[in-house]
Amino acid sequence: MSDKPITLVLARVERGESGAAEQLWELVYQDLRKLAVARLARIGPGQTLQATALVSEVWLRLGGDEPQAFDGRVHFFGAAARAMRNILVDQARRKGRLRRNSGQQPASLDADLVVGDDGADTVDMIALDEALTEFAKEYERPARVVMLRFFAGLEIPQVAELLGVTGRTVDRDYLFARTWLRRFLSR
Amino acid sequence: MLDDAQKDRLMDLFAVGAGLPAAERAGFVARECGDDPAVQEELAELLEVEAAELAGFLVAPAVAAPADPAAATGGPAVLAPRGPLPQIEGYTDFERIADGGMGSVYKAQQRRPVRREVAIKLIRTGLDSDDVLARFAAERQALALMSHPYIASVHDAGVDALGRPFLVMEFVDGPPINEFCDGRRLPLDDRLRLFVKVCRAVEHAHRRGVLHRDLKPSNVLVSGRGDEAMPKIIDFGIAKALEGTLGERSIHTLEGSFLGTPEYMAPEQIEGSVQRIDTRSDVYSLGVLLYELIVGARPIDATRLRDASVVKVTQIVRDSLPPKPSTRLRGLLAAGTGAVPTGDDARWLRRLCGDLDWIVMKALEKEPDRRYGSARELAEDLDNFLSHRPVSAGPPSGLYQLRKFARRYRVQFAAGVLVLLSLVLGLTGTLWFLVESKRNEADAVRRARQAEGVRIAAEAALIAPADPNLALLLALEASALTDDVAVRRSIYDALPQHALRRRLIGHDQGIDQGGGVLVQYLADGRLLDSGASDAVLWDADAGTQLRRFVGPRDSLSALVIDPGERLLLGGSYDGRAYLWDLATGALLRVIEDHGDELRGCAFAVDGSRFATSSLDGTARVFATGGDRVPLVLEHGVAVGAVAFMPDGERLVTFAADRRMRVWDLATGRSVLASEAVAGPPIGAHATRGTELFLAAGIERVAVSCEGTIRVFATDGRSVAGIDAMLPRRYGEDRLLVGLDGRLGVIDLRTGGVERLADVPLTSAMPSPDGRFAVGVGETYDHCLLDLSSMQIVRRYLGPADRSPRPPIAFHPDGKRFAVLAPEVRIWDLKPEFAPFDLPDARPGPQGQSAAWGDDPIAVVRAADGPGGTSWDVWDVAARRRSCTIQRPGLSFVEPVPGGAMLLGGISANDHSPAALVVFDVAGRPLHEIPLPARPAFGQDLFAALRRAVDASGRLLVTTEATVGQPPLPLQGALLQVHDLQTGALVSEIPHPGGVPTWVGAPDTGLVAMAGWQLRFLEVLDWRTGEVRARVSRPPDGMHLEAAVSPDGRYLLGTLGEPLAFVWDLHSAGEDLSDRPLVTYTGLESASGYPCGFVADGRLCWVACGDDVHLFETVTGRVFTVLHLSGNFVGLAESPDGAQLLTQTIGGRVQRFPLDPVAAARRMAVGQLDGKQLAQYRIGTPEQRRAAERVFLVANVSPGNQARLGRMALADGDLDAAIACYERGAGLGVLGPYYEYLYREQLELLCRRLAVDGDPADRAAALVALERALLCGASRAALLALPGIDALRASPRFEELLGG
Repeated sequence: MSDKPITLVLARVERGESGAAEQLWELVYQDLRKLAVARLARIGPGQTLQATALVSEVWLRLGGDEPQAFDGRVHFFGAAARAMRNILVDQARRKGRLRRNSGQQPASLDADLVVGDDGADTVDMIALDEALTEFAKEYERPARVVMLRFFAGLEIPQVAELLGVTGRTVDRDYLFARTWLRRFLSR
Repeated sequence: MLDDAQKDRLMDLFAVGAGLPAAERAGFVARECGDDPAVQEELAELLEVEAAELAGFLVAPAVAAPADPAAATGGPAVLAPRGPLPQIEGYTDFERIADGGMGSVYKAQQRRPVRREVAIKLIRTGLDSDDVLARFAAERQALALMSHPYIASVHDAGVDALGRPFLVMEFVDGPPINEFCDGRRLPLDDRLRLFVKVCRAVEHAHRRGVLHRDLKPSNVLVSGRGDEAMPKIIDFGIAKALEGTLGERSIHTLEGSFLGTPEYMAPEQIEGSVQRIDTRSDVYSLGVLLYELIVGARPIDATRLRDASVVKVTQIVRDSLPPKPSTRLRGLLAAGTGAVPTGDDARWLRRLCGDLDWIVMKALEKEPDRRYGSARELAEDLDNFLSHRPVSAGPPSGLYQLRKFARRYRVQFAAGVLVLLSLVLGLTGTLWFLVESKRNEADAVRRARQAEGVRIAAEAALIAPADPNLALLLALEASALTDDVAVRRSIYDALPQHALRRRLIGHDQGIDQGGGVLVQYLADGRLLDSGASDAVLWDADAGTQLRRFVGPRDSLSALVIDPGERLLLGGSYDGRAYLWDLATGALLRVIEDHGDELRGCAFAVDGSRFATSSLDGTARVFATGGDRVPLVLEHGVAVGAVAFMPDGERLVTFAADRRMRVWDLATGRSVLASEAVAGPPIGAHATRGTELFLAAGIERVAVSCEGTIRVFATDGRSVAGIDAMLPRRYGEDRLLVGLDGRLGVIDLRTGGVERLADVPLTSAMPSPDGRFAVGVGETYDHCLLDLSSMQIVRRYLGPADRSPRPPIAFHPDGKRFAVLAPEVRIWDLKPEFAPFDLPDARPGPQGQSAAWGDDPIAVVRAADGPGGTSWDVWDVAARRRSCTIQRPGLSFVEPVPGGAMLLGGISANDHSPAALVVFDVAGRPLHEIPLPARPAFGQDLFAALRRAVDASGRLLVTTEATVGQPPLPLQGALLQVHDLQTGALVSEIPHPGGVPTWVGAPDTGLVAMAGWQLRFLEVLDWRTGEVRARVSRPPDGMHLEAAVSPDGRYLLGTLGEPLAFVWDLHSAGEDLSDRPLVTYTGLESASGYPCGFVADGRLCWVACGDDVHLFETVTGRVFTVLHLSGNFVGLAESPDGAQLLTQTIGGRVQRFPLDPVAAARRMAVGQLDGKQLAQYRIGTPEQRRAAERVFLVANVSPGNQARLGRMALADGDLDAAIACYERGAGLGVLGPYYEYLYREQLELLCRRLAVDGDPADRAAALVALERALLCGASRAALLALPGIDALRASPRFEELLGG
């Protein structure tokens, strides 16, 4: 067997082994977070990192370039999207807390990772998180589209392939989801 | 709230409505869903939001951006609206045409110094603009050196009004190269020509020391059309230009921010080793690009098909190559996910196969050294291909693979690698030939596949000792690539490691590893194994269940068979003991005396009494027959193991107070209590798994408990306490134990410990004869340990039980063993195909020495004594001598085809003439056939008498031959035919002699004769002597042999040279001389060439020294060559045609699977899981299901239980399905991943509830409902479950789902 962690874990998730999904999530989350923080530390202010790049990087780092792991892509990207969402929401929370408390810039590297700015046109990640939670209760597949597209940064065709639907359906779902979420947030 | 149908409708209508102009939407909404106000309202609202507020909301993926708000003004988030158009002096008419991670690209008009369209790339960067600019300036020096029509030039660079660096480039009006090709449905060769242009451009840059580092379709744009198509590579050197600002490992670091597409990056680039990046990294990217252009998918790509299954096998091969373009495309086409632009799939594929494959693969090599050294070399090879010249690329060489292989298995296979090397050297020759003989493309491809197959097969053979499972998979892959004889040989080499005899699958619920798991052979070879709460008695040879012992409501903690093997006693955690009749399976007694979990069970030696122990602080002794009041032995603390002393009058117990006690059963009193061995008290529950070993002969008692083994003298004295575990009895006075992760031996007399050499086994079961032990190795496979050499001599496939005490049992004959993990696997100690040396064999005469009836038998010459030569008959399957035949003058004994009789020959002596004797297989003479007295039958009957029995074992034909040179026809010789059943003479005609062979069934009346007396081969009627066909070619050597296929059609003959011929008796005339159907030339020079047919005449075999060649009868194509360990003596085929039995001088018998590939596949059925079976298309669907089932049972998880449940449901067993789900739910895992589990459980429970309304189901369903909700199931989905209405009446339902 391959000793690449992702291969092993994905295989176990595939088989539905207990705890494997949680382990996958841990693996992806830790790596994604470490990576994001490290990248930002290196490239200095001004540069940005895209979710797409981060996620595919994690995929490769965990050994995802091995073909046999592809069976587990759905699990991987699901976990990655969830991880990205968590990272972003956490960062937004932390930032909000820090602002309230001291008004100082956070000292830890972790805190360097946030979404956008507080400007009017960026998304309130915490609110979006809530909205998405609500949305997922009603519309399962469109919510997954949002997760994979927005958080895991996958292209439409990739999302379509993972969900086993056509690209057109993904497009439709995504437009619907965006509209629904927009409405939720502006209420 | 909308229901699901409404939601679907809403989404459908929204999709349509959103495509309409805003003005038309209101009408659309009213028209389409005026009938449903809820949907109408929602739709109207959403469409309004879409039109008014949506803009760029969530359009692009989330980003993680720096916290510094000042720096963020550069427009970090894709969430931000489009910023204002840049303002750069000298440029006007900005038009945003693309967004990328590094910034945006605008089309603009340059005003001065010249008017032209340009592309301006605005770099989104932060503070270090100056630095970036400096870098750009430097890089522009290099870029300026490049002047190539296919490279977009950089005109200018600078900083905009906001301080953002920008680049001004030539504007290219065209799509990315892949879109260009697909959009125009460009044929393959046009694509290649276009690509060659790209290579030339890259080469141009490389020569000027500029690497691109980010070659991908979107950086290669194409303008123009057809032959005029002009590629333009953009962004040359941009990556490098940005690199410097960002420190050492910048390519890697920056990849996330703007290179973005790791699929195009060379491995060394991905690794971020800047020093290793050179022109060949770009070559790799070009390779990916080329791959994409000709396949339509990237080599490393999310769309990799599941069909590419062989790849999975090579997962051990580190850095395995992506599938060849042709393989990949074929897969894509087969799956319907790919298309050939020209529509002519077959042609496109044909063109891909071979050279183009290798060209791409060479560009994609993981090691830069193995790629094309430059883009020019790649271009040249493509040119060669286009103009049908030889190319430099070839299949991946074995040497490279070998290096990687050796790296992985450096120690174990130092010797094996030498073998592989020799193969690889052979392979090199093949490759050279491949390049040379470019004429036949298809042939080249075939050879390449063959070479690959040979390589994999060699690897399989090497790897077999270490990982038989993998070897088997590799062998299967190899066999899929080629039917080359070398592959078959390698598979033979790999196969003998497989010794699985049978699997017995008896417990759907698996086994309870903490409990009294047991697998045990009875003296007669029947096998008992225990499941979680049941036990099964098997006829292990037939694989059938004889009895099932049921009753316990919880797992068994102990299970014992009485010494007389009449009774079975089980203790359960349910607090009861159960006594079964072993013969009938009847539950004789349920003992409910104990108030707590049972711990130990034991029978007295005579079986008249049995004892049980329990956490309730007592041991109880019962009479086996009758209902006498049991004897209660009060301990006051939990009692672990119990054992009867051999006298049956005393009982030994071990309890949680760490004391060993001896009880007098006559008085019911404790006559002895040992001192408490030092250490903390044992918790009551730790008495689980306590074991007692009595060695009464040496007055010792050993107790194993909690990782310590305590040895007591029977007088209560403590002899030793040793930190060791998992004891197995090893002879009378020793225990084989796990000691510190290694195997050790405890001498019970002294308590002394001996750690056995470095054997990494924690536990092992010694064989009955003490020569071997089977244990579980570090890799959780079963290992056979030779206790004399302390070497692990064999490993067995399949997972081992990981419980502390893996259940292993030896068959009483010591030749096989059973393991329970979690189904019973029975292994032959020595594998089926391992050579077997018949003891005491002496070189005997060559002749028929092996036959195969129900079982294979072999006859060897054993000893020459005063009473004559004795002959041993062996049952090869059982590896047992079945009889010895000895008679004065017995000059040969050989089995008759069919294996039912033996034929012996007695030379003439002073008292009696020569005769044949027919024996049964037990060596009893049935009758004698007298032979006419003749000088040739004098002293050595064997040398003179020529004989053949037909395939059905009915008729015997005899002739005679002289020994000598030159041989002469015998005067007055006869051809006789006898009936072997009766010994009666059937026919007798004069014949000059030779070696007879039956032609077809005996009633055809034909035999073939070969003989040097005749100097020809002929087919004649044995009743009349009429010759039907003849080969009159004069032989060069002495020995002629012949055989005729079972259908009587083909005559196989050797004429004393290393050549074998096949003649078609139907189509040839009477004189066959110069018209053989087949001439087989693969033989080497030998003293004789015994031959015959196997596989219903489809294959011919010819023995030649140590080898047996098998070739196809009709084509002469070699099938395989069996390598024997010595000179060939005899060969027999199994009745099912699956195996050949060979015998060599010296009595080595070996079984070969006639078709190793089929054998490997057969074995795979027993050893791979269902998914793997499906992958290799092995076995029947039922077998795959069974394998999957075993896997699922063995790997208990909620998901697997759900799968088992679905399988049960598919079988129509709702109750079993619900039981599976219950077990899965019982694991108590909550989380979004398990929502489906509880939802499905709920659905099934509702279904059953609808039938019988059982309140227990209702309660269980409500629990499942709650869990499903906890796991995040949507209410809507739950409410939509069929049958959910049955729960509505319940208040809990309202609580959970109401409102």
